[in-house]
Amino acid sequence: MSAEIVNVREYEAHAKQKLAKMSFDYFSTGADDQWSLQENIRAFGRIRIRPRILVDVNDVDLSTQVLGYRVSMPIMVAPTGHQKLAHPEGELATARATSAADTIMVLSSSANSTLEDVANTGPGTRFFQLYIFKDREYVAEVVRRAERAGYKAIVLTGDVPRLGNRENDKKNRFTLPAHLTIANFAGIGGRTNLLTSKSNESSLTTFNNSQMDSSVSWKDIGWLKGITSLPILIKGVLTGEDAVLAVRSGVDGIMVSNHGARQLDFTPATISVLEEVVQAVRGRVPVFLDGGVRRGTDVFKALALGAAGVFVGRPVVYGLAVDGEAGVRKVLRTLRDEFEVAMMLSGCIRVQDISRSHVLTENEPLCCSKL
Amino acid sequence: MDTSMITNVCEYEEVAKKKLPKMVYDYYASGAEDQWTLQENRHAFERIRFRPRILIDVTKVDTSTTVLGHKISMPIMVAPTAMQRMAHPEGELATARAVASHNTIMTLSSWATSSVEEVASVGPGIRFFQLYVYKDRNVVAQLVRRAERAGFSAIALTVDTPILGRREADIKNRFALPPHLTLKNFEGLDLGQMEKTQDSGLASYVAGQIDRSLSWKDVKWLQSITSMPILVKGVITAEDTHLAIQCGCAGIIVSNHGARQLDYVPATISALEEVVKAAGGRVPVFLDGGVRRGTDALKALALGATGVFVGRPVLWGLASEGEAGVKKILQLLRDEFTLAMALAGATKVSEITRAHVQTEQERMSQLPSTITYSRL
Repeated sequence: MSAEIVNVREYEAHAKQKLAKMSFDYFSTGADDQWSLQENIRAFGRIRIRPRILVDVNDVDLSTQVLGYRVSMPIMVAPTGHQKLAHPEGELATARATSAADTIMVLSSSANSTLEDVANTGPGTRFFQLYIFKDREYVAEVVRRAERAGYKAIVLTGDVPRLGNRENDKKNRFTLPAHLTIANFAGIGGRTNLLTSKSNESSLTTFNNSQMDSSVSWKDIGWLKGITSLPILIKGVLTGEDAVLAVRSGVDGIMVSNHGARQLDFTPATISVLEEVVQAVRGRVPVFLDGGVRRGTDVFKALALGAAGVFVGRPVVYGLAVDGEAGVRKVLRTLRDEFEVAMMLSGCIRVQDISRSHVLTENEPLCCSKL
Repeated sequence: MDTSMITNVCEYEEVAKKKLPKMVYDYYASGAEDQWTLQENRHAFERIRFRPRILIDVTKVDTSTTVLGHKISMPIMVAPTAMQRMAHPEGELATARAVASHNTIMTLSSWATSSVEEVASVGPGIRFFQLYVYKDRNVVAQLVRRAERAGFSAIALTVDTPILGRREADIKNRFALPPHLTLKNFEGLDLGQMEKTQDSGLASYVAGQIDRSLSWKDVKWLQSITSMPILVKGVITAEDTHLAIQCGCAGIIVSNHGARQLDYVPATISALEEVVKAAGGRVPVFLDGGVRRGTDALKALALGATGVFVGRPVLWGLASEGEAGVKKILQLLRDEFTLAMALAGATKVSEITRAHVQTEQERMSQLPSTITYSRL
């Protein structure tokens, strides 16, 4: 089946056919009217590329460094939850495929696999995505486990003081099948498996409302730094003001994200606010982006606007659903190949060659050359 | 109809459409002529984006606010919509009960199918009375006095209706109030020159009685006959904002009458900022038109509104499930608004600021970075 698929978007339609409705809806849904969900993709479409021709692009090199770790391309795997809903091997398959692609995987706190099992799939550079739950001791212990298991950074999600309004999950009364758990937080809250409790709403909402600490604020970066020496990325920044606060709080990097458009609807597309964040940061820490990346040209545009790299979420899940580890490999390979073509056709042989002048944003008129 | 799986206000419209006779649904749903402004009232909200602030302690989110001195649970109130007994047998009484249970404000339409006394009798609640000024000023004075005596707290004077807008569905349907219903606030009035004409009777008469000569001096006259504060409903320009304030109004409701009057006026959310700036903080500015999501209310407040009114959603809830339906509509909006505040990083209504939103004009006018050309 994979042989017929020629781009990342096509995996979504195949995944929809394969997955149970409740599972597909969980992965695909955005919040409210899902305006930001469409916008994350539309906004990329409004950016134009200004290619430079007749450049020797024979030795194109996609590699780069992220927090000091070398990756084969600035395209990495974002944290997405409950991957065993997509495929029996879940996060383990994703880990193997990401390592084979020689790039970074961020493991979600909502994973159905333990962080140790993921680490044991073999060598690879992995980050751990963290929510700060009310049970700080439990959270601290998970962070320590991640350190011991060789994870290289913590990605702190800051845009979920409460769970966003995902109507499909409510209508489906989303629950995990009995054999799956939030493996790394299985005992939290004193109950074994909140996510299978039957309720009148999405069990994610129930879980979130009981466990998530909505008082978490910038000072908790200090708390986190006190319990780990791992570098910390803050995920969910969408404004210049918060970018400044992030840098002041001592994070090592920023992920511009609207949580896959699953939290507050009507946030701008992440690619639309990337430049504001990059300008506010003034180079002090790297800025990354997730949300709506479906094409190698999307990666190119993000880098041109100042991102050090991008993360992809749903495409990996859909590849996983369609064909397990092989599907994820193909998704990453496809994005890599497209990005390589985009670089070559634009006249860039190294990632550092991609500059602001390689793109035109919506509010920039097409300038006439003075020639 | 199974409404237990309804997750947003717009889904109630589908239920109501199936339940209501076509003539009634069309009357409530219609905008004027091409209904461009009807769509635009919604689309304009979509063009406004949030700038959420993260990592803020949002454990306690307080949606309460104060309107004309009344403390209410949330800045989301009920707009005047006419003839609610066409939607449900209990009509305005069901709405009044639901609104009171949510501790917010109900505006009763002059063209209600329940009287001010009947509405007041459902129990305690903060209520405003919406008024048209008729040619017979004596009729107006009587209505205003009855509203005062029935405990209503303010007048919402509609100023965008010197003549009724052309709602084409009503024309095609030959809209008339069903014969078993009547405009209750006109019963028992000394109607003087008013005569009952034709089968649609009072309703069509009343529509013809609206005074086209109504002007700003009449607002001053109204002030002389009542001590209730007067909100002017239907202002959408800076010029009229200044005039309204000069006439001593207590507040302004930016409204295009649910897009039922002049087609091709801007969306109310597009006009809001101009009115807010012109008002300069002298009086509170409210908004109605197109509010369907908690995020819409948050956008309006960020752009300077003190509160918003919802019209059609209340009718859809009423038609679907009477009082329980209206309660659910208000609960959905309240829950969404609370969540939106939390995710945007505001714990009190007073913490919602202009910086929480980005309008389309701001997006388009962002100065482009200087394009630097690499050295040849």
